[in-house]
Amino acid sequence: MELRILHLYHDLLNLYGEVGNVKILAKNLMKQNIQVTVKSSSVGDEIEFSDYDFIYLGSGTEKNQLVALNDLSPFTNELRDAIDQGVVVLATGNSFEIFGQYIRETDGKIYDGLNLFNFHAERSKVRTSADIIYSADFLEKNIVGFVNKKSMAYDIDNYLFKVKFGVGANENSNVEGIRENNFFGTYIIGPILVRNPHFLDYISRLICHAKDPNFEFKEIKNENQVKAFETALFELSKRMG
Amino acid sequence: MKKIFVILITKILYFVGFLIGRGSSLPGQIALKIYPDILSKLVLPENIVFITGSNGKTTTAGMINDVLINNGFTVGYNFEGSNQIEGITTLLLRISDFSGRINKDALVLEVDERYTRHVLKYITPKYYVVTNLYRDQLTRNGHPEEVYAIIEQGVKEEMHLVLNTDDPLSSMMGIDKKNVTYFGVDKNSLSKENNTSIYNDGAYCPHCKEKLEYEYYHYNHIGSYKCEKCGHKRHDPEFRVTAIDFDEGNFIINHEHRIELNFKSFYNIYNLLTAFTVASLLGVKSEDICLSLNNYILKKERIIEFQVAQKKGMMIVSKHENSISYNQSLMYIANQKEECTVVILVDSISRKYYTNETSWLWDIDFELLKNDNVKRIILAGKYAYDLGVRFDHTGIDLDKITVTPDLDKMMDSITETAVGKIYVLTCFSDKQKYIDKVKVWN
Repeated sequence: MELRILHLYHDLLNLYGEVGNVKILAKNLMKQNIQVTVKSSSVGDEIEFSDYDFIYLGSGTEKNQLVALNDLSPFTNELRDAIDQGVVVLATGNSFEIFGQYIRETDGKIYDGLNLFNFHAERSKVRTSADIIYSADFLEKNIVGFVNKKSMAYDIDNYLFKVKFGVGANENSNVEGIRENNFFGTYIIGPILVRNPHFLDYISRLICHAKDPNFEFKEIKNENQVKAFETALFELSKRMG
Repeated sequence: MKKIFVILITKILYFVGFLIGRGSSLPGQIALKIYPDILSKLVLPENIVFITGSNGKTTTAGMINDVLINNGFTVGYNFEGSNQIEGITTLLLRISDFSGRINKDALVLEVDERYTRHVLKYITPKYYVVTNLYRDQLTRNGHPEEVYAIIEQGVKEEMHLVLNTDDPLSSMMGIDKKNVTYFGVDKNSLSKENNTSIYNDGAYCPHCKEKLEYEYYHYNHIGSYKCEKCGHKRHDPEFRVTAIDFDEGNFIINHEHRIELNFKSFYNIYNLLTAFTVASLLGVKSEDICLSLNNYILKKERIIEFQVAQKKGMMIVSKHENSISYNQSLMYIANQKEECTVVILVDSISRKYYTNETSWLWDIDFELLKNDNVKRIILAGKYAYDLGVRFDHTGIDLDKITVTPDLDKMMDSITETAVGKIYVLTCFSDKQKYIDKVKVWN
């Protein structure tokens, strides 16, 4: 099998070592004897979204997020088609806000989003940062990570995670992120697929089975990765009390 | 009357705190509570230098202080740990007389980048020095563009800006300003055509967000850049490093002033260059500055030589959550020719707050250790496994690597398997955990 990964805005939305997500996913898929191609693209590039099996976007500064939004807007229909076809998309940090209805600045100024999903984001005056533990109904184990954001998301229909420790989508929310078909969005920053081997496994299977429903996925564990996850979960659980 | 009272209280509290070994911020904190405007009631010397930025503040402020003192200045200077408004208040009230007058030739104040705006409300420095802006403790500080917006607040026309022309973000402060002195490092044999780091914070113009063009890079996004759209670019610096010779261990400023390096790193050169620039602006003669800065010994908190099981080693204190700090240490090791073992210890991410955030490990160019002289790598501390996963992606032969969260096992591994000189990279938060286990000799 051959799979193609698109690292979108690799040089614009990579504020928290998020290239790690792409690296570990590619490596994980290669261990399945899959031929993997990673394409890094950015502002001004012509992209055929439907050519890819997986699209990744990481976090950026507030300015960079808007640059990406502006650059991506003309491709809204192509992106919608790709998502409808079942291309797996993971948008972490503030990049998932791009896919909503709009982003409202603290001064009231509104930036229209791609409007692919029904939710919106509001910029906050202060930054929210927190260690988190989330759970997902499609995962047996919890998710660990870190949220570092200057905005809140509202009116998400289909959330991705439940909050067990830390912060949710907004100040009154005990859920976080968005899942629509094979689109995954979350405020968790950084290498979420590195820190959560079970989530990496889930995404990897999803990508493979979207391509070939009969693909025989082998269970291959990275011992360091599993131990790092267990250590993080143990440490954070202590703080949860 | 109130002023005298507050000054007296602060002096007493400082003295008591000094006797019982307490920190220096509490007296200032109390003074500010009783008399919030106290800083604006002081009579300060004309020569006031603020030093802020992400990396190198403490070292550079220390260098400036030493140069000035060696050249007959009397100086008020806040040393490490008191760079927020409370610590600065403690210092100023401690060295002032009871009328609030500070009889010094100069004040050299390191100011935490998150607090500059608070201090600028009360004190207008003659020189406002920004060393650089990098990704640094993003869990607490936010990203560099946010920090830029903060340190720009409160900057006034009459302040003379001293900026790093090689850093596209912090140098932006000089746009449309008249009163600016730039320092920088010219292209040299170590400069590279491409950015070889795992991330590139210089990809886009921080001013207008067009793609930036680079002529060369020194490291990360530090180099010579130009924006075709808005014109933001590296300005020709008034104080420039015109040559670097790491083999001989020296560098030259403005073609004629040679400074010998005690520690051969790019970082150290930038700190020394900044100190040279500020001391020159304050009127110290170039030759005299060079005499003070030659073979400048970095504070023993930063470079620590030790011995363990008859093996020699050097700890290069780096900063967790600060990839450029680690990269500089890794570059130093990569430039060594003799065989070595590298220990990386990440056990507590910060000494000031708790976090489990490890994404910064993916911003560090650990690939620099993919070098024949690096024979063994030991990854240790609570985050050893996270380091292990990161090293899976460096292309370094995994047979060279040992992963152990347990610090006693780390020591066993060093004793039994280390080859050549031992380099230990860790942060202030974890330094002592290692130092307690070895024999230190500086």
